[in-house]
Amino acid sequence: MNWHSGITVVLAVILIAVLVNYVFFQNETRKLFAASQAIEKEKLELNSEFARLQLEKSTLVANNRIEQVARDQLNMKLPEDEQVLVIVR
Amino acid sequence: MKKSQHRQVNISFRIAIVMAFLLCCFVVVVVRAFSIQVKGAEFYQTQGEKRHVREVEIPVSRGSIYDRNGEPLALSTAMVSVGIVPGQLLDQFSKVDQLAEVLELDADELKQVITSRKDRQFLFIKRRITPMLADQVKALNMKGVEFRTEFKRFYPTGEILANVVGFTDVEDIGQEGLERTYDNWLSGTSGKKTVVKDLLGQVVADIDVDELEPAKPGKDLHLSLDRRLQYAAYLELKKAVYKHQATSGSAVVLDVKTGEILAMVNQPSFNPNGNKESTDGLRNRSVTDIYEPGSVMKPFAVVAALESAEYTPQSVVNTSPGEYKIDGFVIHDFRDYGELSLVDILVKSSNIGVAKLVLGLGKEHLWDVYQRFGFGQSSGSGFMGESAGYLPHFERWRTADHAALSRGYNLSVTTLQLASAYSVFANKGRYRAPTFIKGNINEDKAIIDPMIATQLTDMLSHVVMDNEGHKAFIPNYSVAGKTGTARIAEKGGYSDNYMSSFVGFSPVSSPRLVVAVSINNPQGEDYYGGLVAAPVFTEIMKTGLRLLNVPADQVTRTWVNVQDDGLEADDAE
Repeated sequence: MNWHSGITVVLAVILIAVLVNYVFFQNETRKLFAASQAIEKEKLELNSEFARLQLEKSTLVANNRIEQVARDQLNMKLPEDEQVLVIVR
Repeated sequence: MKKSQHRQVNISFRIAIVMAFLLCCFVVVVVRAFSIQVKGAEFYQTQGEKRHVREVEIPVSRGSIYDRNGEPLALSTAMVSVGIVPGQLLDQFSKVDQLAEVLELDADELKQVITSRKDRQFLFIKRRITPMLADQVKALNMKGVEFRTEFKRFYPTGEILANVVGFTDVEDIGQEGLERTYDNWLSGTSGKKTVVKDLLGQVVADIDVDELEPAKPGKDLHLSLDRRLQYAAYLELKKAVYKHQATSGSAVVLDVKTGEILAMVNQPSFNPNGNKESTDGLRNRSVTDIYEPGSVMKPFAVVAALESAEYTPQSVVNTSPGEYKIDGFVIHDFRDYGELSLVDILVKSSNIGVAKLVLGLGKEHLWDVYQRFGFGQSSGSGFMGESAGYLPHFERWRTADHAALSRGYNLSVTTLQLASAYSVFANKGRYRAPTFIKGNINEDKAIIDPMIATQLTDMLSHVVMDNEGHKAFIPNYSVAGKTGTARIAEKGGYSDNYMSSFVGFSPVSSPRLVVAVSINNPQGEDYYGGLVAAPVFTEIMKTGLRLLNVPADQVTRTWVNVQDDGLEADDAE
């Protein structure tokens, strides 16, 4: 064994280490990418869910619906002008 | 010597071996290349295409539109658009039947499309379906069916705000109203990324992260409008237009302190979530439609008179005998009012009174006053398609025109211009351009003496308060305002159709809201602004004052606490 073979062995070890590393991180990248895709998708779904809920809410609080519920179910009505009194402190 | 010769032979032998080996390799490469590029060309080409590197768009949503309290007025929700690669569907027609059934398409038609366009890379067959329906399609698990995210615009308030907010087209570009005016702000820029796709069209890797163009989602828009007030105003206007069988109508509510438009309603309207074929309702009449306003202009003529310093609100003008000849034209009052003060000219809405006032002043002065109040110019609201109205130059006025202008003829205005002009009286003589955007308050500038603004406010409050049973009367609040009833001009003269309007503000002691109402062509007995437009004004103003918690300034009846356990009504003096 001279110093030539020594260096060859060292380089071979480094090369193998680098290659293994490369494969490992390549795989890691794929996994992270898959995860990021899943999150992107989830974000999109949550966004559309949010918009849908907002729509649903705005239908529920629509002024004409509230007016109808107040009038028909709760028997409420706007006070007549004569009934309005102002509290003075 | 022998040794060296042996070595030479050895070397040439070795070279021959290497050359032979390389040749073999070369032959193998050529043969392989031949088999791939010529024999298997078709196969590899299609395979390669299926997993090639593609640039894909990152879809972005358009910004939402909210009212001043954060209630949604326009929202984009993610929907799924279904597209096909026709070539890949040719051999699975049995599944195409199922696909057509789920998407409610005609199966035969779809098959015909597939056959006739089999060379197309991609085409949409159904756009913007719900994610739930898309899941059903995905369950069919078909090759050659692709899904893309697209956004659909919803307008929760429907017809109430339709012509103000406007709408977008299939490509999500604003077509009308504020959607169009603020299209740049609302629309995002879709990003791009380079990806590798696998056989099934699934993205397997992002590449070139550096060259990624990030998606910029559209920005949200917060309007100055108040959905509750908008709803109430719309209802009142619609009721009145229906009751009087009018052709159209519009109403505007302005916040005096900020110039913010709190409500803007128009009739007719349309459903922005349905198809937009009723072209009649698409216009935002409050800012696009112009008309001769009639008597609601008289206060501005009175401003000109007061500025001349020849008159005070108590100055007296003789309007007898109720007829007045100018330039061959005769103008009339409702009846002979005799001697009227400036206040009474407005209270009685005397045509002769204002004519006599302005004819004593220069034409230029009246023109200048109208100009300062914003007539003949765009209000500055920025609404796309806003009309500037029409105010002829004073050099072109004849004497009869001069008189006609004093009572609101020979010029055209929009309802928004009227509201803005009246807000000058309410805002101590300062004009502020109206705005649709919450908090985007325009600078105001003094256009008349604050003193004159106060005098006019006082005079206009007499218009409402001095007329017993005036339809603009609001319990507990003082109101200032003016009616207008103008004949609508037609080809060759004036018709028997009227434009009825009312513009006013409240409370007089510290004005908060300006409301302008105009109703076009009411049918039947009632056509006076005081009978048609004033009740609409009153209802809108009442709701507005209540919603904004504006303190009452003219309390007629109060509760006083007489006992710990109860309250009792007490009529104030």
